[in-house]
Amino acid sequence: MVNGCRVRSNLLDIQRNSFRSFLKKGLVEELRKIKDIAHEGFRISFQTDNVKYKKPKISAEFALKNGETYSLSVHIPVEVTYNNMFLVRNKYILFAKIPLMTEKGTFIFNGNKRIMVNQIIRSPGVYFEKNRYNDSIFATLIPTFGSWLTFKIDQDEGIFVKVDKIKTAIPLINFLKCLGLSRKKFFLYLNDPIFIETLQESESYGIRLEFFEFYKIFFPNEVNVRFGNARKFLRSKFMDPRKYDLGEVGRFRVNTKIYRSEFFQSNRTLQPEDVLGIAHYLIELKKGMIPFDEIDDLKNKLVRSIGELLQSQFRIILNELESSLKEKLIFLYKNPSEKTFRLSRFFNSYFITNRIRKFFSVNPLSQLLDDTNSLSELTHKRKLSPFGPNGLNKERTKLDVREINTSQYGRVCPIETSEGKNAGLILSLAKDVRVDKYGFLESPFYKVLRGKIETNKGIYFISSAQEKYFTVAPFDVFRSSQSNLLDKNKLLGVKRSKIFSYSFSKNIDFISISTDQFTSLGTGLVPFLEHNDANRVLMGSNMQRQSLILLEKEVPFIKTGREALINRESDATVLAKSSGKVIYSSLKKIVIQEEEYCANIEFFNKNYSFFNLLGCLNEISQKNFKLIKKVNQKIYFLESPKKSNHGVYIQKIPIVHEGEWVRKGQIIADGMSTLRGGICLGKNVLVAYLGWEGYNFEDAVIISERLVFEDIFTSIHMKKFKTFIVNDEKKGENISMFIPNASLKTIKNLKNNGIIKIGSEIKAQDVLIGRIKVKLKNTPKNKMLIAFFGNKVRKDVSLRSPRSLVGIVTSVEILCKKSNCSVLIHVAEKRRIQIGDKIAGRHGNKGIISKIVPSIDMPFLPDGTPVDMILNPLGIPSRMNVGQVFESLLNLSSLFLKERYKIQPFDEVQTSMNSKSFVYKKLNEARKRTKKDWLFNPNYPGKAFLYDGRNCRPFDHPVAFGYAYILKLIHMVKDKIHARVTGPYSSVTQQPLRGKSKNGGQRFGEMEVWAIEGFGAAYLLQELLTIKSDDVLNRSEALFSLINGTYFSKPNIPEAFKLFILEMQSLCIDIKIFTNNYKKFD
Amino acid sequence: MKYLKIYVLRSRLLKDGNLAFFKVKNLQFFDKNFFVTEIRRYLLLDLESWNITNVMFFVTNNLKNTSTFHVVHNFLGLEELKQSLLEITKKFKLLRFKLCSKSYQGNKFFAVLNAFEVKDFLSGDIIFPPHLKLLNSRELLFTKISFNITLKILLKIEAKKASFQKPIKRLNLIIEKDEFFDNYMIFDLTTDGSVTPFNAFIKALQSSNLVTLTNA
Repeated sequence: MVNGCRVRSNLLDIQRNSFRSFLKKGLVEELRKIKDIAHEGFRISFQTDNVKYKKPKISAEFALKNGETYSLSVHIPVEVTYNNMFLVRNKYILFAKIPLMTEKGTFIFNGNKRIMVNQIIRSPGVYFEKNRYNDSIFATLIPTFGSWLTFKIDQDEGIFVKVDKIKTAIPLINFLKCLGLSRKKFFLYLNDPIFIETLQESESYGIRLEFFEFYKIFFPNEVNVRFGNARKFLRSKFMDPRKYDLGEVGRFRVNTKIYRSEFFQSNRTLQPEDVLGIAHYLIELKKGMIPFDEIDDLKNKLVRSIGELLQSQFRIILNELESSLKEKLIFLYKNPSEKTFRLSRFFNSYFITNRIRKFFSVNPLSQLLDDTNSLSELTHKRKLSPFGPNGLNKERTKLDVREINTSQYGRVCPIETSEGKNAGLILSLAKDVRVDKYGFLESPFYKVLRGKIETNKGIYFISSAQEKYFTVAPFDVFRSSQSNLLDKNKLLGVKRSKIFSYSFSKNIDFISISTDQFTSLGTGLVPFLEHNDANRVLMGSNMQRQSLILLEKEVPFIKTGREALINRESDATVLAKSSGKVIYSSLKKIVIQEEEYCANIEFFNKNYSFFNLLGCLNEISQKNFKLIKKVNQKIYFLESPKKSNHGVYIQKIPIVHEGEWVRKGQIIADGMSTLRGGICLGKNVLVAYLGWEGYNFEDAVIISERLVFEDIFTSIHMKKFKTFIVNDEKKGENISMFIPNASLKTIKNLKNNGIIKIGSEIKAQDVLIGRIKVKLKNTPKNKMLIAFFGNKVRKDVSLRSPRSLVGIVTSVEILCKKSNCSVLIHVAEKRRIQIGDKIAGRHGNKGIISKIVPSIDMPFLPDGTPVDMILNPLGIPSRMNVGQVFESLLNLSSLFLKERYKIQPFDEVQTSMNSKSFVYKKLNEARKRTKKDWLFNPNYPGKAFLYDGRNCRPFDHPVAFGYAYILKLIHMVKDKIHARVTGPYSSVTQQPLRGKSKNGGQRFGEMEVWAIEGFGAAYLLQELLTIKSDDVLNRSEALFSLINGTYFSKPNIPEAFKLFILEMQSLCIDIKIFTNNYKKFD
Repeated sequence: MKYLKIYVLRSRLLKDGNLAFFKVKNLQFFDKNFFVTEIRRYLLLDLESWNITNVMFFVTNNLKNTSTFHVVHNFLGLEELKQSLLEITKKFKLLRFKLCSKSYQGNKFFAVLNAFEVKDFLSGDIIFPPHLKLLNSRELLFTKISFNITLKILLKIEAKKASFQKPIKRLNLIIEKDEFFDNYMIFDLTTDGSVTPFNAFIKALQSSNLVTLTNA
């Protein structure tokens, strides 16, 4: 529990601090373990105290552009001796290259932005549980690394120990004797009759037998085991710090659980006393004296961020390195000398670098950054995943793990999680959460003393384990805005020891710092959150992450106060690193002149002893000296337009002008999803809730043509095309603009070298890189062509644009790495909204556009303004997301009153029915000020009689309408729509392949077959299952029949059926088909 | 024979010439809703307006002393300009025009903007053909911050039916509800200046084929 800290909500601190601590402590800690490697007379010592880090040679932008890794190099001095003879003295070697985290918490790995998702796992320590099925009590001792120990207490047989997943159990007494516990201690602590009997029994055996017994569990087939080996094995298994480590957390938790004091603080291996303590605890549990542990409580869960994950990976790599070094030393040198010995022959930095690279590319926690917009980027960095190394197994996750726990309050968002199979597993951190030194999550609270909130005393960060000792109240109970006093005479809702109850204010110890303390970033962006069903808020917060950046940006009329916070930490914006004056600002760079006044240090240093003597060192200010003006120019390069990982166009635009003063931390350049620091994910559009000709049935949405033609929901996308060059003589491939049989239209934009020009407009199937193949395969067709035309036959193997793409080539790059060259082409594309695109509000109200109606036909308001979007009113009652109605009405009044609002979640804290009364009040105010009476009618508040645009008649009933903040989501129909006439077939079944990328066919499943059968359309079904699928002979003939206008030939037996028969035959089932014409299947 | 009687309701104090109210008295019996819908449809759908339909950017490098202009695409970010070309295109498309000469029969114009100097370029800097008048001439289009390049912008202006940037900014209508005094229909028209409300309304009446307008 730490007090006195102001919550600054540094959203990426978890990632940053973790990586920093890895570089400062973790790496050196691991290196110390292989400090001295001694083998066969050789001794290699790494001087771990003098580790040096070198900055990356390239900038992050350069790495991103050129497909390289932004990494830091680690240099360590090494000393090698052979029989006390120096072979290498104190030589710095490049030890490894580690990907370096950028300021915004990302890694640039092979030109892609990646992040390492935080892992949430069971903390090392000891857990006491009860088996649900047989009521047996057991304890699990989990180390940071090493074997898990399970202790089980039976009804009458005593306590047994299991190691890892090995089924054979050994009696606790034997195990303790092997660990070297004295008899005296044993009797002193475990004064239970069961143990005394078993101990007396075991006295008859010697200690040797117990060791052998233990050894046999692991190696059952081994005979003639030596006692020394068995003892060594046990020792290495649990007592060698390199093979078994409880970790700092594990030791702390074992100490607090068993000893109630800091015992064995420095020793992190297993101690016999630990086992004894666990046994004692188990006996107490059996007696029913103490409660069991709740596994899903956050106090038992630990957050492992990038630093810890990298450290544990490093541990494995260094162990591998040690064994590899030992092997190499023997084989390479027999009689080495200082002259002949070469360090590079047995040690190469690639050994470690490659393994780290593998870790970054293979680990499930290392993911491509979701940079659809700035919110998705930050949410991705603040995710918690239980998967990954030492994590949960996806198939074995029980329901208990997924459930919300009360300990999550203020630490993990109870709302934001993914839908589907990972529901409740992948979580999101709450806004102001902090991670303590062990990795437990802490939430900020204010101290309450005698019913008064002590804000002056600062903020206390409390972990879940500490929280159970206090009475904690939510911020909602605090209503007064004048004083910090809570209501003395009223019973307030509080939580103590995980139980919700009512209590008077004098009993409260802590209170939350805000009403939205429990929400994650995405959830916190939803206004009127408390009026929505949690399931829909979940969808809303997830869909905000999928919203596309629009060409015309607009901030919402109603905000929640999180917007600026998100932008500051997102990669999309650029922050000023220090205060200064802008002297240059353009699309490429911003130059800020920093002016610093500092004291004349030379004068100060000369007179230091004199001032010190006088004792006035602290009183001397800089004013006493002649100030020197230091001028620095800081250049901020804005990256050129580029593609995000999800194909969204990204550009940074400066928002400061020359001569402007900026302060440290100010946003100086906007990203695509930000507008002057505010987050803008969608557009405020006029919506009406009414049924319109059935076109908005089942969540479909009708939009006005205005949204299409005025580019209101237009987004820009970028596509990357890459091909390897190219003039390969072996394969006989050339790049050229002279492509055989290509129309002039498709190649008109090619340059002489065969690569497309920058700025050219491309349409479907245009050639991007003209490539021809000179050496053709020896097929009969090619032979014939060569016979006719000689050796000038060329084959077109050009890279063409996909069918659906229409765009402009924005960049062409030729990248050369050694002898391999590749061409990279970027194509930008403007996409207007169209039928089939997915849109959503912030309240989980999603839908697909079903019709685009001319704005003249759309219903219009009593002042003649046509509505932009028609939503189905039936989408609200069953979904229970009433927040959207509040939002649309308040937006409406904000537009007419020219006001902008910031809505506090759970604002019922002020007055009851606060949202409703506030919205009505504002609407009424708008009515009075604008003299538009239809804005608010007390008989049907929030509704008005709208007119049908087609006949100018009013609708029968008043209609709810207003402005809603609508998002265009990344699921666009253009990426998904697909049709096939002919295409590839599977080689085995001869049926069409699956998937758009393979130009596959549409599956006609069993339910579809039932439908056709239901209608009795036998010939249609036969056609679908034969000539349109796997009737190999007739499917090619069908085309000719169509051309010639003849009848289709009679369908043959499908290939899949033949395969089925063959499979049956291979199972020794003799199957024959008897038809009029007997056919045999081979 | 008169079918309609139209009153133009305008206060003398009203400075905005683009706003007018028309009160129409229906002397002949026909469906008021039908009449109103017809007028509205014409005004919002069929009224032609002049819009910029295409913007092309040409750039030359002054450092190389060449006079050849190269076409550049809209997604290019030029360091010499404060705004991106995408943003500039967006601003161009918002400009409104008015045809001055009634004799002009064509439906296409080209205009050009030469950006040599280092300054803020306003919409008034565009060189238009004499028949066309720019309505919003004080709009800031872009800022050029360097002499390194010369920019030429070619604009294509076409007369099109209103799909984008309609000449009628707002149109509202009221039909008297009362059974006894239901002879009035009130049109509330606001235009963007390319056409006067009166002219627009007359055009709508002419096209509706419901009434025949005479000079009388």
